[in-house]
Amino acid sequence: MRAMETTPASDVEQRLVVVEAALEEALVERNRLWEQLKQQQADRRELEYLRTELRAVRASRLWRLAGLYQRAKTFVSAGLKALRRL
Amino acid sequence: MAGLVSVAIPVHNAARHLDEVLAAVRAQEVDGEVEIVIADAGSSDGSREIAERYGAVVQRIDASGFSRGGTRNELMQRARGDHVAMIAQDATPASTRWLQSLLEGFEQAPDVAAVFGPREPRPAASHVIKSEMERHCAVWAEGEAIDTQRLERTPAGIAAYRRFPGKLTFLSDVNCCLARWAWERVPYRDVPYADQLLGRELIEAGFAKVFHPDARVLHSHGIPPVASFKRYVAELRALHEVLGTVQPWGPDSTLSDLRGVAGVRHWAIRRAAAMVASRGRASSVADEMPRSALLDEDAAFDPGWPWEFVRRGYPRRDIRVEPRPARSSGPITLSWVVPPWRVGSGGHTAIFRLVEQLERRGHSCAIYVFDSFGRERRPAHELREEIVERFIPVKAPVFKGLEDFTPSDVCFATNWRTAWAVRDLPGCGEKLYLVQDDEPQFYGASSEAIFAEETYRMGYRCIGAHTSWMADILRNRYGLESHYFHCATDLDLYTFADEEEREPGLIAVYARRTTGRRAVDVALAGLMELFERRPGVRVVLFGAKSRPSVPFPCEDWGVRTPRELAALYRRASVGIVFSLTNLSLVGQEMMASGLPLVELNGMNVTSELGEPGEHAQLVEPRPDAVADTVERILDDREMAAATARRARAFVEQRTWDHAGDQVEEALFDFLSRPRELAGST
Repeated sequence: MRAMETTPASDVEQRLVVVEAALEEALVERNRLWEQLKQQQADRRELEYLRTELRAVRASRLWRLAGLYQRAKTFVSAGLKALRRL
Repeated sequence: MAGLVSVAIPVHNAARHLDEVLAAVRAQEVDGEVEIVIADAGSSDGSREIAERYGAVVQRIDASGFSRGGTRNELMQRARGDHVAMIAQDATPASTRWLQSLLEGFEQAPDVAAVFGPREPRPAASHVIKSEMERHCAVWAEGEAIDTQRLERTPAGIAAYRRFPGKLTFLSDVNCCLARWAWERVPYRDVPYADQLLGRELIEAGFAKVFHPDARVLHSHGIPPVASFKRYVAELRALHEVLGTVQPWGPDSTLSDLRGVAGVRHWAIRRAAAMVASRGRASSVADEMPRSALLDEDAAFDPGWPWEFVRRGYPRRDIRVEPRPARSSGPITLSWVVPPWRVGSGGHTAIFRLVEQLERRGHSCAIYVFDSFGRERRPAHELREEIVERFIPVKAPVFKGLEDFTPSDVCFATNWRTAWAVRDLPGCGEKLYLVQDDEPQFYGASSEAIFAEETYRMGYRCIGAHTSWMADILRNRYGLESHYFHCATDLDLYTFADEEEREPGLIAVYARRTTGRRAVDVALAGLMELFERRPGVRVVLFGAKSRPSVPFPCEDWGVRTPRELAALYRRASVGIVFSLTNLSLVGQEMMASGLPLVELNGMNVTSELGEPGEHAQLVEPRPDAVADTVERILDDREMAAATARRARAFVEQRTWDHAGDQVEEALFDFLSRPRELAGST
């Protein structure tokens, strides 16, 4: 009680300003981390979605048929190259 | 788990394996005494003597008296243990922990009625059988961990059950253990597939079932083709009779089957068995087999019933808030739960504008789309792109659903449906309700009106949009704390046009008839009256995708871009937009463009626009009154121009910056006075 009575008002005000500035800074940092977390979650969801899409595309008949065609094309062109070398 | 445990085995000429089976049972390491109870159906190969050698209690029955369910019920009655393991006469426990593992299954939850374990192929079994057994076990926790099955009695849970009932119901008395208390309530039925049916009935009665990977038995048969065919017919017939499963047939299922099986011969046998087993019903069984109301194909059931989120919201409870220390400044975190939108939605324009305004002031936002009707198919990142491109650039990430919800200082509900979802979200310092209209009024006497009005009793603190009328309803009728903000208009887009730029007799009418509160037919009736008086007027309707039925020739512009509408507002001589609740943003855009506005006269309008003639002409909802007022505006262009100038000045005061200030002020007012609620956690 005695200490409080003897502490000059200006000191208390100064400490208040410092603490409030620290609080503000902490809140800004808290918001920055919150934003970062939310962005990571959103990115993860987008990645999951794109992976699912990719799986669906790769599982489609069209993709598999195209794959067969690509392999056949590679095989034929390799064969042709070999023939040309002969 | 100390005490007596029973192992029950129905037997008929089982000498080939019985000695090995009973030796393995006697070798079990288990707390308590193990009792073996055997029902011998007239064996003539010495099975009874083998059983007696292992100290089994043997009950003799005639071969004709043996039945799948009846005999097992008798075994259950004769057994003395609280838990009775049922195994087949040729199923050998694979380890000394088999019985203890079955008992451990009952420790998973107090409502576990039955525990079952995997069947492993005997060493001599073919690779086809091995592969099939492995795939079967993989259904439960990949066959590697304890898995508890329980029927979730929600639309989604029932739908999952109907898609794959066997995942929950599978129970085979080749290797399972029953709790006596459960069997006393749900005994075996005397039907051919009694074990499968018991599994279904236990699950449907609300009990749990457990798969324990360590409760393994060795059990497999050789597979000469005929025996294999018979076995499949029996198994698949059981699935068909008990669960209604029909084995699919067609190119897709054939391809997928061929990938899954280890041999074409095996596949052909299985396919033939499926054809026999799962088409039609076995006449000997059809009448005895109790049907499942949950699995009935003809049952009226829609897992997509959209009001489940409301049903779960009862009984009534206080809003969930976790009060934080009082704050009146500094950055805050805000979650916005919004309904799905269409481009041009006025309500969403206001929400996203406010998000952007608060982000500018240093606050952090996240947007969650709550789509109870499942209408939005696009992924979250595409929704965000649409906000940025078609509404306003915001920094906030967008999420579909509330799975990724993170506690925040403030969480906003933005319409009545989202208010149900937001109320119970955890970890928020404050929950606010952005009330953009008196939504219960949208529905007349209906379930929706009841559900919507209930959200005003949830204890939200509110920020009403647009008018003091809305805030007053929340305060006076429902006793809610409420601030309000003025919605703004894009003044760069809706620029003011003078009288000389306007086409005499051109009337622009907002005609979205599907929005009942726009009273479109009151406007059309008034315009028909006017048309009779002045055939020269030219009416342009806009705002609706579908062409409205109109009693006079007019142009229907349908849905147009804001830019096209702004051009229309600059050219027309009269604009008509009616609001039966709150106030339309379209009217404000017309006022910004200098277009003399005709609105309905009501507290919702006058609370914002003042007395009739101050900023707009306000009419009673009567066709003659509408025609009179429009006629007066068309005739008295000086009066019209003066009203338009006052209206423009009025709208200019309402900027989004100003709205942002109002909402931020309201936020800090609420946050500076944290509340204590009975339901707060």
